[in-house]
Amino acid sequence: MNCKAFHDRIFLLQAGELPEAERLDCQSHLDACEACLDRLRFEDAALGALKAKLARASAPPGLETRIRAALRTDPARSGRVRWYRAGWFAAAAVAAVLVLLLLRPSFRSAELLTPGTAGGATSGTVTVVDLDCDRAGRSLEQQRRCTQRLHLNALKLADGTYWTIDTDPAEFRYLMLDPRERGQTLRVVGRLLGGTNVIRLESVDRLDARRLSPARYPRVLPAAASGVP
Amino acid sequence: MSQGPPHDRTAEFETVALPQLDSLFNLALSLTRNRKDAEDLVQETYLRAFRFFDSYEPGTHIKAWLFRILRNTFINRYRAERARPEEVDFDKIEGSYEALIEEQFRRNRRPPDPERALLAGVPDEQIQRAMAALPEEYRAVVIMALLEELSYKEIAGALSIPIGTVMSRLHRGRKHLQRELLDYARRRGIFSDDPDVSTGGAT
Repeated sequence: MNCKAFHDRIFLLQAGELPEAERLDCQSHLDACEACLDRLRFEDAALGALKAKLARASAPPGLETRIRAALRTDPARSGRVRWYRAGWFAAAAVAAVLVLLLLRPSFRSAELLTPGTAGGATSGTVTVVDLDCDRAGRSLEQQRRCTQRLHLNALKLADGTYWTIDTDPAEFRYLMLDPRERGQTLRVVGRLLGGTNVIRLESVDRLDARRLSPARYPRVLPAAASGVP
Repeated sequence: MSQGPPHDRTAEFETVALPQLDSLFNLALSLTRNRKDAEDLVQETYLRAFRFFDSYEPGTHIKAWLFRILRNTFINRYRAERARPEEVDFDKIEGSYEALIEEQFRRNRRPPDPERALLAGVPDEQIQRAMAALPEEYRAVVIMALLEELSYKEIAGALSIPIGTVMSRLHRGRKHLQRELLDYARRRGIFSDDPDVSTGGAT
């Protein structure tokens, strides 16, 4: 390892994010290079100073009380929670959206479109994936079996990039939450928020009518047939 | 999560989530740069989190889960309405940070007591201004990594971005902020620009 390679890894070394082999390489380099040892000491001092200057603010008095009160007194919110917990709300929402999709004339169009924009809206043909599992290289079948409840779905484009799904509107939230959606090929229209990859969905067309029935879950086409490279 | 009556569920949520209030407020303040908006954002985050509490897996990192909801809420409610800060030219920062350090190391074989030098008299506002100049997505990563000490993987999960993007944003953000510290120290004469003080011995 030379000095340039060491400099490139200093922040990772400080954060404890270097793989063990690279950390040992860095250590060997430090044993032999006093200049880089000085640089590391300097970066440690700079990081310490920066953390000291990024002082933590405390939540204002009263905020916790207001939150506790809001959690207890808002009937609409606690009602929604009970609906979700009852289990049938998500299924009803999926069914309602599927009916809406069936009624849309554009649903029958299976034309594959590349991502584009028109009138401020963004459209594209996407595959629903488990974002974390997909990045880890797991198959769609493995993704659908994933039980990590923290994992959320995202929309994967043909070029391998992702759109994450905005929590609004609520009618499309199931696409973000339901593991059974993974592997579905969709044509979506929405708006990307403020230069991000977060898409606020406006319409969703399913491109494979054979997979519309929830009863067919968890059967999913193999990755090669889903349009995912 | 357990399926008890609503009041039990509320209490369970409060026990798990409310200890993170200061951390959420810090991140919210960093994103909104306004205490009133930060309070509203935190309250909305908790209400949303409560609605989705079933999707939280007990034993996993509650702070990262709440950060994820806060960040989504921020994008929904605030970000679209706000003007973006003046963009930082990170390519320029990258070069000037390295140049500044190399210059100091060239002039002074070992910078004198860097901890003291960097902390001496640098007002907090200096760093707060530098933070405010960072785009929101950089501020979020810096706060999560440096204040909350989340791992790169946890930050990637909270922000729905690849780990490589976390690294890139954090490293660029750090260089921008540390450059402000160094620049201030140099302007105050803590790091001398006078070649006569050099002790020689370029690296």
